[in-house]
Amino acid sequence: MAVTAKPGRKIGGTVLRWVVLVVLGFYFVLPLVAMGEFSTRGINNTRSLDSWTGIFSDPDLVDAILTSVELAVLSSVLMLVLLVPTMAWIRLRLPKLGRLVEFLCLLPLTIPAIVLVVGMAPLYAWVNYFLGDSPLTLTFVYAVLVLPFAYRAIDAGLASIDLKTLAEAARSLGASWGTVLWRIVVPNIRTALIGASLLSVALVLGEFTIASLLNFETLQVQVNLIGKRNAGLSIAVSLACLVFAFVLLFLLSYVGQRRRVTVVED
Amino acid sequence: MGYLELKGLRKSFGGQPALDGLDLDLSEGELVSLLGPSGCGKTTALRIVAGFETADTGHVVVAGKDITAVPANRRDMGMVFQAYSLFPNMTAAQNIEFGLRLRKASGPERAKRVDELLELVGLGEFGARYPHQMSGGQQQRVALARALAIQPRVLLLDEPLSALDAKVRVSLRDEIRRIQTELGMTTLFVTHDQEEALAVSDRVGVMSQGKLEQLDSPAVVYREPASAFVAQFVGVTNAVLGKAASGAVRLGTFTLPTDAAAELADGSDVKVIVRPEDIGIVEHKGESNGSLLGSVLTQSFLGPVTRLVVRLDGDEQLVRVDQPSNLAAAYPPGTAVALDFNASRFLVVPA
Repeated sequence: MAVTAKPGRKIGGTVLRWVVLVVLGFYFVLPLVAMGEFSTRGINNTRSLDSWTGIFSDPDLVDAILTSVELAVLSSVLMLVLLVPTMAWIRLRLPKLGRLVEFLCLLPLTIPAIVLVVGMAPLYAWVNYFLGDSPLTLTFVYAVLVLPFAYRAIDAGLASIDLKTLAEAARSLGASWGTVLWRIVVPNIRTALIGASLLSVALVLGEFTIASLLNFETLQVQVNLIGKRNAGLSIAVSLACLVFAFVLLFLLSYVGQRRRVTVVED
Repeated sequence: MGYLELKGLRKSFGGQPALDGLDLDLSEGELVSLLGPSGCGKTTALRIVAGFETADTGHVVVAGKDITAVPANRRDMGMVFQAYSLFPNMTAAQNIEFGLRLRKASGPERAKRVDELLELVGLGEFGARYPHQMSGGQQQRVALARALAIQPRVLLLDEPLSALDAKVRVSLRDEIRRIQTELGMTTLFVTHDQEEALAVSDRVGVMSQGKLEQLDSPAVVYREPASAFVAQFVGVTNAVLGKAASGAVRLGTFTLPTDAAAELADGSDVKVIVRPEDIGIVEHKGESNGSLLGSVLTQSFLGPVTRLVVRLDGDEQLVRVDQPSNLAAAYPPGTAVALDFNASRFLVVPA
């Protein structure tokens, strides 16, 4: 007799799924709803958007937002410039070094931020001496911080194409290594690069410890400061940040969808 | 002097020799195949010509110019790979014009050339397709067009048909040969498929363990193999064990006179290498008369010929004999037969 799924079991599975979804959804969404509720509280039990409009009328906060956005973009760019040629080159010419580079790239994940800062502080004394004390110098440490996530994303991208054959095909047609990288590698791992960049942006926008300990005024540092005098405003900014990160992650999963593969018979 | 010359190429990977002093000359417009089992060094040789590997010693010369030290992107070699070499982010037309763009050809010139090449490989309508929208055979045609677009000095084919199914393989192989002849393109073709090599080449180079065993026209390689390896790698062959005996080879009670045995010590073990179609067969009745006797074990119908497996009397070796299918019916399994090597070609080598 053929084995068929019992209807009862099937319904049980569906119910379980919904229970899990509702419980976990509640767990995740409740704080966000609470933040939304709190940040729109007015005087005498009215609703007010003062905290939200206040985001743009606080010059320090606007500066911090701009700084963080600049940092996010610069860190992503620096990460891509460092990582993409290195990883492509290692796959093509120095596969034996692959393990070492992977280890180095994953290292920042294992080192607590506070330890990083202790190591970085003397280094930053020099950075500030040579490059000035602009918060944008945080780019260097952030580019290191995003390595583990970016490495994983780019590695998956490179693994999904036949890099060696494509590079050799391009070489035989007359392409320099730069052309191979720019015209062949980058367009074919575009999705992975966007993924790596979005992860980096989300990470940099949320980073507090290092910026605070090195005394730079980034978004999270400002949010922390504001929280001490205007809770509504700090909650509004935090929520805006979270929503922005969610939108980024949503975009990430959207662009991450693989191109549909069409198989054509001869 | 050849158009493409490989001179004394040696290459080893981690102490393991892949090429052991390879010399090869191709005349202009010639298609030479390198044929051999995997690991024989044929692909390494091709990759050295392309500039993807560097030879430990030796030189690659094209039209009298030593290009050993020239990087791959300045060699003007058109290469077709096994599979999946089309740039996935570009259409067929963009793939083909890639090399032309790098050579700064003008827009109209590129468009004209792309159209010509798509036409040449029979894909006139496919210019706007992306690789994933094409079949394996179509992709390889585009890859060929792309390699030809740069008007290469030499065309290098690295098992371009091995990932395709049998039918497409044969039709594309004939097409490659047609295009190659039409354009007079000097071509080095690497394959492990002997049928492919014999079918399309001007000359076939059979390689083993990093060395060229024989380099000759397909007919000569097939009819007059230079070594037991070549005989056994190219085509179907028998290796009948026997003993050398003063200017002859003894196979059981049968004596096969041959000059080749003169150089071999009497009583030493030898192999007689002979193709199934080179063995005569007659039905045998009555007493042994000193000929090579056996009985038919099985018959397999292969279309124009039928292959008989004959078990020799005495040492029970199995010998394959091809007979035209209309004649093979005379030898059903169990028939006692006498085999005849005398009129045919065979090779005697130490066992």
